Amino acid sequence: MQLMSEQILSISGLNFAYNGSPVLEDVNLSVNRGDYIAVLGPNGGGKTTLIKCILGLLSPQAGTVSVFGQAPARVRHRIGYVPQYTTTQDNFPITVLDVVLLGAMNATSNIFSAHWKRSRGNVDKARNALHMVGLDGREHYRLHDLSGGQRQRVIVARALMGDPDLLLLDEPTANIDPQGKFCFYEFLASLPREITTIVVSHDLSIAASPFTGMAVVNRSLHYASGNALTQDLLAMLYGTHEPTCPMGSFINSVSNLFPDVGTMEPPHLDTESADHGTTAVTGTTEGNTGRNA
Amino acid sequence: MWQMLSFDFMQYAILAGILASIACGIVGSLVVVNRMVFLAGGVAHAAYGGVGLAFFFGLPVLPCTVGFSLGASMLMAGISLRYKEKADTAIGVLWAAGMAFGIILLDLTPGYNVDLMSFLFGSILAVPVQDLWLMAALDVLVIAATCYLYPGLLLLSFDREFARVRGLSVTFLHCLMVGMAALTVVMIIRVVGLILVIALLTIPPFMAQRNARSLAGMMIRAIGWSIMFCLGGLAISYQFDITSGASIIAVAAVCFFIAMLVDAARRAFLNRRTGEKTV
Repeated sequence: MQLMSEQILSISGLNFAYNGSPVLEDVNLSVNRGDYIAVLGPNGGGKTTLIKCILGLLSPQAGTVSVFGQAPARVRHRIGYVPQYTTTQDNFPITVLDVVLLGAMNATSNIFSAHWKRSRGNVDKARNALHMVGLDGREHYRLHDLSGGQRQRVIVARALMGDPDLLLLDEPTANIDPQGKFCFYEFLASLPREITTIVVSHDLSIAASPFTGMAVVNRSLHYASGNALTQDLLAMLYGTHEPTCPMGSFINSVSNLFPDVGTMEPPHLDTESADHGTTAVTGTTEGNTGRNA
Repeated sequence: MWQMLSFDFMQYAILAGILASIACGIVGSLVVVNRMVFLAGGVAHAAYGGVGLAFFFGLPVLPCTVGFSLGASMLMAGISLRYKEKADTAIGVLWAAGMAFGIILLDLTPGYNVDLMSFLFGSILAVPVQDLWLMAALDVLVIAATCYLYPGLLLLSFDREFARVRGLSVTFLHCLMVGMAALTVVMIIRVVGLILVIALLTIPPFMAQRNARSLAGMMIRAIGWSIMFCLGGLAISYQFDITSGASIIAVAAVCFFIAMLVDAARRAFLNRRTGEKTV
């Protein structure tokens, strides 16, 4: 993984506020090529704002976002954005192949319309994208006739049409049943290594999937490599609690689910004393938090 | 029954039905997949303000109504883009206000007592030839705009967020769609009347959406259903001597409910056979 240490995304000192109320404060994050990152956070924690900043749809009040070393809006075509699938699209009259072909559409020369090359080359490419997401032979199904997980994979195939260097997924499994959810993250991990993937979700249970790094965003952002939720990250999600508080023991039991986090000692969630060895994570914890280093 | 075809007014009525069906099949499909039915209803009712304005100031009715509706529709389009969560309320206000404005102006117009019923239910049996030409021009406009902008309209309708990321002007296309809806609504009002505009904009696209495999296919099917409803309704209104606009909608509504029953029965049958997948 470190062989290709080209920096794909770099966020430094990002601040964003809606009408004066801060949503993101001093966010730092860097993502290298080939990384598979989960960005977790509670609803209202600023996840969507972060995505929109990465896409260049919102400009931060302070700090910089650079994607492939450039301003996000200029390289947006290299980002495979997978928006949250809405069930309102369920009855839309469209075939699977046509959905994927929408990904070949580009409006760079004319913002009023879009070019839609239904050329043979694009159709072959769309079939290949469907093959990558494991939906061979379904190209002529109506989208309506697929299951929730399959529909979400069609949307990923659409993003793959743009030959993205970075895949950005927003709550991709919100409409998928629990079994399908884990299959979906395994599927994302199986995508070619040169595609960097960032998944944003409020769903903590996905943490068991094979991510190379996890970030928790709740106004500020903490990052740790590996796919374990450190107590530091959990404290970000739930706040810090006294050991006697039910929430404190809950957090401890959650972090026990991840074997690499050695929490044999009694829960000690006070972030001031987070240096007592409970943060031994897989690999090195060279996040931007500094505290775990 | 076939002798009805020998009357000039009946030939015009059939032509008017076909021409209106083309525009409302295309625009109705866009309105339905973009969930803008309430907005189209608002435009249709606010159009009455344009009628009142025309009579009060003695202006030509059609251009005045078209202008007024386009203005009202752009206002609604702007509100629905910028203040999504307040759009319903704002459209409701414009809906009622436009209509009240029209009625008051008609009340104030000296010596003229407009027949509200003819506006509400239309007068497809009294369509003048020049209106046929106007509707044909509208069809050409709608077809041309839809063909030229089809990929963008498709992407916008399917996934607005993705369209924006792809650099499409969502604002322009949204306003264009609402504007086309307004124009079409004003034209169809002349044929089937205000109340029935919503039905012709929604029922044929609903019927079409059930089996269509593409947005274009849905539009073509919707045109087909709409023409069938118009011809069937006209035949029934001739046979039983009832209001033509209302009988067109009666035919459409009956087909709508039959389709719902068929779909429900088919689902129940499939569920019993497979015992799974209740999509």
